[in-house]
Amino acid sequence: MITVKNLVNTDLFQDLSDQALETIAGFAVPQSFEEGDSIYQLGDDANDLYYLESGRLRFSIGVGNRPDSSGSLILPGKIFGWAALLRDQPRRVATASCLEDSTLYVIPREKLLELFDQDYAAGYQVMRRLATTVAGDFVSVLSV
Amino acid sequence: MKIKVQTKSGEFEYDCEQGENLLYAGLRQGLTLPYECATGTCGTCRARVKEGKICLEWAEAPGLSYVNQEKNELLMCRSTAPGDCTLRVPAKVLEGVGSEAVPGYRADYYKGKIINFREHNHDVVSFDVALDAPMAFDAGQFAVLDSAEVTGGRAYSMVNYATSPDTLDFVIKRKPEGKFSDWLYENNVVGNEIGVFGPLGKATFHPEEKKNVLCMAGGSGIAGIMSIITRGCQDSHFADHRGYVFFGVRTAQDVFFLDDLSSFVEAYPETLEVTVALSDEDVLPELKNRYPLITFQTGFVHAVTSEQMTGKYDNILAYVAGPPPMVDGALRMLVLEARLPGTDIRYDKFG
Repeated sequence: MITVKNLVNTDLFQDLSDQALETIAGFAVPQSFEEGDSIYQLGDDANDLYYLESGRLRFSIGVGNRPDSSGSLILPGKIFGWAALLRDQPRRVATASCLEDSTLYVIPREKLLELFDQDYAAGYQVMRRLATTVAGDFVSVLSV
Repeated sequence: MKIKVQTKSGEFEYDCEQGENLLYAGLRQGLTLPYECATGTCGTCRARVKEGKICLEWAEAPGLSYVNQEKNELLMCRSTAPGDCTLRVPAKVLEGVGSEAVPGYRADYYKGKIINFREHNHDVVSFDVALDAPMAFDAGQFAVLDSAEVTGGRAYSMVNYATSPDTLDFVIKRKPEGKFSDWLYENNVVGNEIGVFGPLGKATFHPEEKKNVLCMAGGSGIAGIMSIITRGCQDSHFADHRGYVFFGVRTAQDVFFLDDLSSFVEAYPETLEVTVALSDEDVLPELKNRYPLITFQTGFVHAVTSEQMTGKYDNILAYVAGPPPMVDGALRMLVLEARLPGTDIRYDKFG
């Protein structure tokens, strides 16, 4: 079971109130994947945000069933899949695949966005953190 | 020694010579073991040791960041086995590459000699490798070159195309602190012996697929694209199919192969278009005047491609080659904007 403590230790949700975190934890549903499975691929609809409880993932740009060069690792305790928070273009901008058997918590996009519509403070804090994440991605690309 | 691999499609066994890396041994015996760069960078050839011992040949391989060494994981392309061993490979693997069931050319070892070294611009050179035996390959494939004077192999795409050539052409951009390119630049390498392992790679072109072709290349990534367009011209593919080539470099000082690209357009002026994108400067009139058959634009190659290709994606196969950030940008554009299915996009990332 995902907890408030798990969520408050993530980059994206670290500024939220306990109440908002409890609500988000209530949305989360556990799901298991096997080594080699794709969680999602570049271009897929982005319907969910994910919290990695155990295992190891590779986050990269690839198409088809191609495992891929470059990219980065996602380790337990991380939130990923932030394209689900974009209202106008909810499509995956990368591929996430399992380097080993992994357990995730799936947080549905629609429920999150509804929460942010009701709790503006939570929505603002999450979008502020998301903007930092996106800017970080651009900086890392431009510095190559 | 015997290497047993447990995969998602069954168990296979192959021989491996003393000191031979586990990946190349399997590939030369016709197994479709997973790989991308084949040189220790990408981590795609990850496996787990179930029985036996292995020796890691390059402890600093960047691809090791993707393996969990505490769980006995390894990179097959950078490991050897002192005795029999059993590996678990988390992928579907087929056997019989080169047969009707698994088409393609089986990789093998060749010995070569560097000949015909030439400089194209301030940091790009090309040379040919005369092989001890012909190597059949598909246009768009690459090989790993291994010099006794530089540790580890390097992957480069073949520039030429012929049915079964005994000479391979390569183009190489000098990289900061790149040991292989430094060796090429700082020594008289003509006549040097070099090991070749290939052909490798999945970004292959087959005219019989009867598709229009979109090629996007960054820098020396144009190598494999030259091979593809050469084959397309040889087979008269562009007599009834369209070809769009987009070649991205930083400045006019960085361009090369423009005479060759012009000659392709000259052969098929109605169907073949070549655009050079300069990312860091405006296009000077002198460049346009010198190469009237080529279109020049300012911008990143994937952005220029996106702009010019609108409405032209019918029956198209896309090929992408270049540095990983450029390939990433191109793949995102092709999937998210052009809405091409993954099966219609081919690329190899080994930069």
